[in-house]
Amino acid sequence: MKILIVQLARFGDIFQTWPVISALKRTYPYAEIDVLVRERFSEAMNENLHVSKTIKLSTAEILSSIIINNDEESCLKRISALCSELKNQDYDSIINLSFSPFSSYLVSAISQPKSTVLGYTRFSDGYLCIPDDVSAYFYAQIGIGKANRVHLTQVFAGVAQIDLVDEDWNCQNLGTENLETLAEFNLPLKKFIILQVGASQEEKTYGIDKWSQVINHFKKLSNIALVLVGSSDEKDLGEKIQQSTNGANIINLIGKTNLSQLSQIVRGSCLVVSGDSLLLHVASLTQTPTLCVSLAAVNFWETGPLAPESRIIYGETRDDIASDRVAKEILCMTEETMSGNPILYRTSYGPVAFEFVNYKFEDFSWHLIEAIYMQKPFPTICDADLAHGMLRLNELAQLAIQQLDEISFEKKMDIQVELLSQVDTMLEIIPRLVPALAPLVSWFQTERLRIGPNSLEQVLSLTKSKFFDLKIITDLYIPNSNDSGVVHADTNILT
Amino acid sequence: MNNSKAVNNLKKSLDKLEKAAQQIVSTRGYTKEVENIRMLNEMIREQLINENINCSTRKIR
Repeated sequence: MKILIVQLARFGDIFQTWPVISALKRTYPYAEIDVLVRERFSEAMNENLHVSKTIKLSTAEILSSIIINNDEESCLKRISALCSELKNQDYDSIINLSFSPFSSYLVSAISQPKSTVLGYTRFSDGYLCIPDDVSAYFYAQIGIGKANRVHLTQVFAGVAQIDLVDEDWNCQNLGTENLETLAEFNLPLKKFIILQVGASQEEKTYGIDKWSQVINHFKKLSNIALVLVGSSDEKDLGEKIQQSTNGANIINLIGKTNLSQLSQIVRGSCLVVSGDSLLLHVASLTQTPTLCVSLAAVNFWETGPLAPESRIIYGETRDDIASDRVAKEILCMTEETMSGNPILYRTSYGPVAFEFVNYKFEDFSWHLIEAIYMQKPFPTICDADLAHGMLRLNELAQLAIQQLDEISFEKKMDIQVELLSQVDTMLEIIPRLVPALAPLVSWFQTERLRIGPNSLEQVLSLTKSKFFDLKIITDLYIPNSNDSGVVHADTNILT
Repeated sequence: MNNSKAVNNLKKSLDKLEKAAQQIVSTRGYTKEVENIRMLNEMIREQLINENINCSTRKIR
């Protein structure tokens, strides 16, 4: 059996794919598993022993003739050659974990009739094809500012149609190739903390001033060494921190380690402290407890640290997180105690990996997602805007069903077509006005998108069935509607 | 990929390829050729909106 995993995202997502590869190998021990990654991030696959072949996609090489002299023909030839080469591999299964338009065209081009395709691809008419429910979930619900709480690794596993077990996270070979690294940098095994102050995006980081404050608080609490790590272009960050934290026990390794050495250092540390970064994902695989300082630019539910005992401190902005609180949490983690402050605690490798501790937080949108996708009860509404929005969605569904019923191909149907177009416009407006309903509208729009090329009658019939589904859900929130006995929203609000 | 000439060339080619794809679709429908052009276009878009600035890969979908 030959499997190709297409993972064209960055370091973080590649490391989050590792447990899926382990699970595939555990399930299909004799399978040949190839992985397609971007050349720039391919180092993240170097130590994965389950992968037969890492195929590197060189964007720079493919696009070089356009960049130099707008020679599109040569680029198209290279694309064509790449597709032929991959298609000739004759993969039995292609698992696309990239969720990008480019990857969808690529997967469509390289799949054979016998190939099982999971993840984004293209229909025969070129429209986006989302063949599996988990990819549809990704399309509808995942991303910054959305209510999703399912961890990305679980989403990847879902797309690959595989169940993860705890051992899939324990990638024992990662970070064990350079056993001399700790000695080389004079790091005492399990007696130092790693701190990554930078990240791929400025808005993901806690900021140099804040990290300096954390270190200054921490040096009063403990003498455990803090090892600073980062890429070579972050060297100035380390120097600035050292200048502003006199007397702190700091070992500055920023720009001095390669990815393999970094993995070894993570494995040898007692704790990793970081924003949303590559380091956090390596720590999940080496099972190193991690404290993640997370800001609104990241959805920590999707990419948070998965090593047992990990914690997250969350704030919308940097100013929402006091530096002394971070220092105290670091100390508590080294002492294996609880600080009493609000945190998110990593509780399992399950779909939702974290639980609030000392937080009171209700989220209608997440409960709506659970109801739609995970057979949980629909949440009750205790907000007038939400009730109003739900009512309008119900009316739109009814209006659309009526218009679709009236459409006939033998006569002009200008009114029906115009009304359906207005329904589409309103479906875009409602989630903007009532953001908590966005998961429901997004689910509905994605299901419509999944209708493939077909006869007009079939497309109409399938579209109508999707509107029926929307009506069934919204009916639950409408007083006196014909429901299946599910608990109603607060009807007083509606009246 | 940071210099403006490269970006201009990518934008120019993107525009040209998009028009070519539309023309083929309108005359011959969706073909392998169009699939390759669209693939190349998306690769260019990734360079323009993703790798050149610091937004996450998953935003492009």
